[in-house]
Amino acid sequence: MKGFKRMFIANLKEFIRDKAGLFWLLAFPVVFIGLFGLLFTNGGQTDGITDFDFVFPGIMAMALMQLGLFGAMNFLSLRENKVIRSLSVTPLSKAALLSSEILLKILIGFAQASIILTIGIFVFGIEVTNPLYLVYFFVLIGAMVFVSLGYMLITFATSIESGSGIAQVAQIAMMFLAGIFFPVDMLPELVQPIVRVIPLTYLADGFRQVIVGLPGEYTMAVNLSFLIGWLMITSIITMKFWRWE
Amino acid sequence: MNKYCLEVESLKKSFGDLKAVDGISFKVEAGTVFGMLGPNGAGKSTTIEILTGLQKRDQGEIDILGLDIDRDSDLLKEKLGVQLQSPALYEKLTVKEMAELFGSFYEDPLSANEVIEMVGLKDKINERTENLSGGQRHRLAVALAIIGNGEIIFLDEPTTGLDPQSRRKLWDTINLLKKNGKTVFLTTHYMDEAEKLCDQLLIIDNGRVIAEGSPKSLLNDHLVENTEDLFLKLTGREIR
Repeated sequence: MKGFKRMFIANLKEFIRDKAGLFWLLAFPVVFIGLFGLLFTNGGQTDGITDFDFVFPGIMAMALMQLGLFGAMNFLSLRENKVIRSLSVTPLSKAALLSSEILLKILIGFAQASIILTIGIFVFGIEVTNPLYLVYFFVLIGAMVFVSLGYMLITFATSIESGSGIAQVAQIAMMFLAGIFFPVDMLPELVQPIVRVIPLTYLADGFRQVIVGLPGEYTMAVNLSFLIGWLMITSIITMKFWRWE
Repeated sequence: MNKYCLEVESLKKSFGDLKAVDGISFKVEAGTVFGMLGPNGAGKSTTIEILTGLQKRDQGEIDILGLDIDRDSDLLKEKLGVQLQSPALYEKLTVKEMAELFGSFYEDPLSANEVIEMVGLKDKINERTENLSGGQRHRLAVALAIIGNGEIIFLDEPTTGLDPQSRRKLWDTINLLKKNGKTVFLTTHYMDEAEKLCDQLLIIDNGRVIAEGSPKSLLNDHLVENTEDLFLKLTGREIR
């Protein structure tokens, strides 16, 4: 695809040079891990499983959610500032433009996950119970689901402000309803139906099983089915309502 | 070989009740600077947007370089260079990186250094675009329009809001493009600019053509001293 490589490099440079973006996507999860690590490592322990073992996979999932939701803001800003419009009068294909963005986001997801895993293993003594390729398979699925969800949400945003608002609401709702900091059965019955549909629930549950070997709320088949279902639905909606301008 | 590289016949475009372009026709000779002059809202940008594929026309025939604007849009993008009204740039990239990025989209681009020199930004080559002044951003946008080595360069109000020095630099670039055999399609609402730069002028108002010809013949035919007086004589209003 003509221009794909240069577009990818340009997006990568924009990402690396944007200190605020770097902080939110790479340093913030690390700060989170540090805080929760200090809070939970001396907490309760049942059958050799610490509270931190429960929270750690949730933070991995949360980082991917932030990558997808806030990573899409970059594209929204390019759209609203008419950069996409300027590119659309050149021979650059829209497929190259979008795929270079998506590839970068997925690679950032891998980088995020690697940083978090490294800190978890070497600083807080997390023992990964399954082969790493299984963990990274879930990282890939999770990154794709949330990148797709992020793009879906910005199709409905009319400005950078409204896009940020939508992403904030989605983030906060999922963070508290997916049971990443505490088991979902502690949540009121009223919100349980929401808990059972949001993708973060299934990604966090999947991570708990593949990273620390905790028994899951759902089987791996259910987790994967829901995540792939979310990926398909959000991709279809995004393609249907997508706006280049 | 056809001496006209762009022929437009009865072009129309409406947005709701507003007739943005109301049946305009014109021909642009290859290797010349063609100016579309008119006040804000006259239909200049809409015309450029239609000719560069950003807007669909309601009616009218368009022949660009012998190609069909609908069927050959991908091929046309190789042959046209476009600068849109407000410069939209990747803020964290440098001037050179922006030029190289846009150059990579084309089959046979000019070198980044060459176009940066042409628009007078050599001393800013490693500056991030976020640090450029308004005039420098406009000049970079023009560089991005010419890096593809296209045959027709569309410049939509390239000097609007610029200081006199930046305007002069852009005028030099436009003259250089003409010297290199390119066709420049320019919109402006500055009369002096139109008179100085353009070989042919199309004056439009409310989406319609109100006069056309070379700047000299237009002034002679209407017995006025400058295009400002010409617009006043034709419309009873001052150009804005």
